[in-house]
Amino acid sequence: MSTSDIALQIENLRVHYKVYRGILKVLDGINLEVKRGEKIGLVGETGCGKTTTLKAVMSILARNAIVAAGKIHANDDTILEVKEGKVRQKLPKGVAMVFQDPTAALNPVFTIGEQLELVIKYAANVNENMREFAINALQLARLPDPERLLSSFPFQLSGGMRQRVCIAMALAARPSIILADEPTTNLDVTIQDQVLKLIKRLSDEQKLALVLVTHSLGVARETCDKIYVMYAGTIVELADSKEIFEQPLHPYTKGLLASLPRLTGEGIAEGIRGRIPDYLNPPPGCRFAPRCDYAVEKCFAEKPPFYKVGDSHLVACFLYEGAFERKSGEQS
Amino acid sequence: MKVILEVQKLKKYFSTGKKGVYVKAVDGIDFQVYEGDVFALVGESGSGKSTTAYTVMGMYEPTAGKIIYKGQDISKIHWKRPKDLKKEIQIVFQDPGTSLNPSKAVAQIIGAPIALHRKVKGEELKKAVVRFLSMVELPSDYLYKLPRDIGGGEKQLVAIARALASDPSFVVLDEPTSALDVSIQAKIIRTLLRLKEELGLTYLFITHDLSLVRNISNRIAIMYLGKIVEQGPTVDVFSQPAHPYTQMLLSSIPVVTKAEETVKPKKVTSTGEIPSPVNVPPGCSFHTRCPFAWDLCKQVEPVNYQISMRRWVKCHLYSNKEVLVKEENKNEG
Repeated sequence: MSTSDIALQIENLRVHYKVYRGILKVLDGINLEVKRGEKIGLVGETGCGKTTTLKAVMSILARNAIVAAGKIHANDDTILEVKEGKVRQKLPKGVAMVFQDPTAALNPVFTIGEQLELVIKYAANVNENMREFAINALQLARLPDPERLLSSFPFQLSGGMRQRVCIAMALAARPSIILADEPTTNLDVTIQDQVLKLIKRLSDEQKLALVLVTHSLGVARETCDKIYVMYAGTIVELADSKEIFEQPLHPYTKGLLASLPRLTGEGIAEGIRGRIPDYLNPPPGCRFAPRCDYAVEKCFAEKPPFYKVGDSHLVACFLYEGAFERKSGEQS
Repeated sequence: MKVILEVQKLKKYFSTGKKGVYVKAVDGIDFQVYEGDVFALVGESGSGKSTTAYTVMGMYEPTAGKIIYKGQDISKIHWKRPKDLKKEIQIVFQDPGTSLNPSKAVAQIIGAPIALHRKVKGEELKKAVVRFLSMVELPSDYLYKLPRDIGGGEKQLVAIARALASDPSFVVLDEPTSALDVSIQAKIIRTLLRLKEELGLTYLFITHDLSLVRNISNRIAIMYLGKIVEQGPTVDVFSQPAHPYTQMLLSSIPVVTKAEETVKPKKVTSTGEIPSPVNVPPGCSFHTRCPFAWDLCKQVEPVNYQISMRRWVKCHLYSNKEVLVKEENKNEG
């Protein structure tokens, strides 16, 4: 292990998909940085490229995916690089992923024990006392009666139990980075609460770097330290999780937050007009411009860079051009 | 206020293939929906909320109990129901991707119930379809589009237009927005609420999303393992959740503002999982997860205790509080 502070770094990642109609330009320059022990939330709506980002890190992109540009470092190792038009990619070490649907992630014809032993054998390189190791892993995920669980098949477990098994399996390899792709979307709200608390506790205890992909802003707020908001293959805003909810700046983040029904009962908001762009011909400028109420000519022509609006608050929107400089100027 | 739908001791059991073993999906529920209500039926997966909706629709025949619609007993399967009744009660399903026929154009999808119930043809039919499209704010060039050509939110709008096409007065909404993103959900919900006012509809809203229900329904029933554990006006249930399960549900919701956090009850943390409806625990079915459970809860099933004017709770904790309310009522009377 090296001393570097940063566990996972994604630089300018562009991923396209080749389909019958042409080339879908999905990821459009994703930059993401996760420090050791930090919990990051990657939030966005359906089809914004959240899962594609994670898949690129795990090098499990679909066959028709093309990595057009970008660089990914994980645990001080370059795992993806595009040089002279050639993609060099290798399997990341110390990175584990929890998938959205535990029913599809577990093999239905093998017992939990058999599947867990494979992980222990090949990912953790342990060949002795595998059973104890497996029981230990299940206990870590607070699963009751691990002995019996080892000889159970996935169909004998409930959805929440299956997801906890998947988490146990991800942790069995002793990773330093966990990627969780909507781990609670298929679970009921009371079970979701339990699973999120488990993920949070485990990543705190073991000082894991966590990337939690979710479409639910509430889930991200209660679990993560820092939040990246994604829209149509671009990151539009990032800030500490407290700040982004108290002071959202990007028009998309604002619209998304306003669309959420509140427990306090303030009625239903307007929502955001239009729908996400066709990736075949995405807007050349800001990808949110066609749906944005504040869009000006410049938004349609140029891609907005990140403007720094706070200590760790960045927003990709021309509305905030020079906002921070002005702010700091006033103070001095 | 007039009662439009009354459900009395409704039960729906499914056989499991084994003799004498049943899935008790709905196990004796009572509720009343008043005219103009948005009545929300809330619960986790496996609580029986969709089964209740489908039984009201006549897609299942009730095992026991009665469903009364405008004074008429309708507790029978759909093919035994008169056509007038089918016109009156309509449903919008959860996933518009599977509830719309992929090989029919929008005009045919919305036209079918109009042709059946109003006996119109040709140009007149087309005009009617356009009228229903405009009701859900879709332009008339959607007439000849196929479901695969339009987005998820628009598909759900077509499904809503189809449900309204027979001119119903009672619409069952079975998780109409749970397959959609929040920015689209907001639009669909606003359309539904607007149509309710314009056409004087009554909704039975099935969902697991408590934050959504808080904003749109006026009365709510919480289901757990085939039984209604608490029901009452939405505002009261959210401000003072009485049943431990309601408290657990509310405290589990992830929220986005501090104001919302103050609404959440703190003392009940979520433990355990919903048991299988084949082996319902004896006594109160929630006792396996309940932090307040004592011996009585494991043996005797609680009855519905009325804790205020229109609120009922199925929990032993309130067995002595009921008396108070009755006395209050006497004093008022």
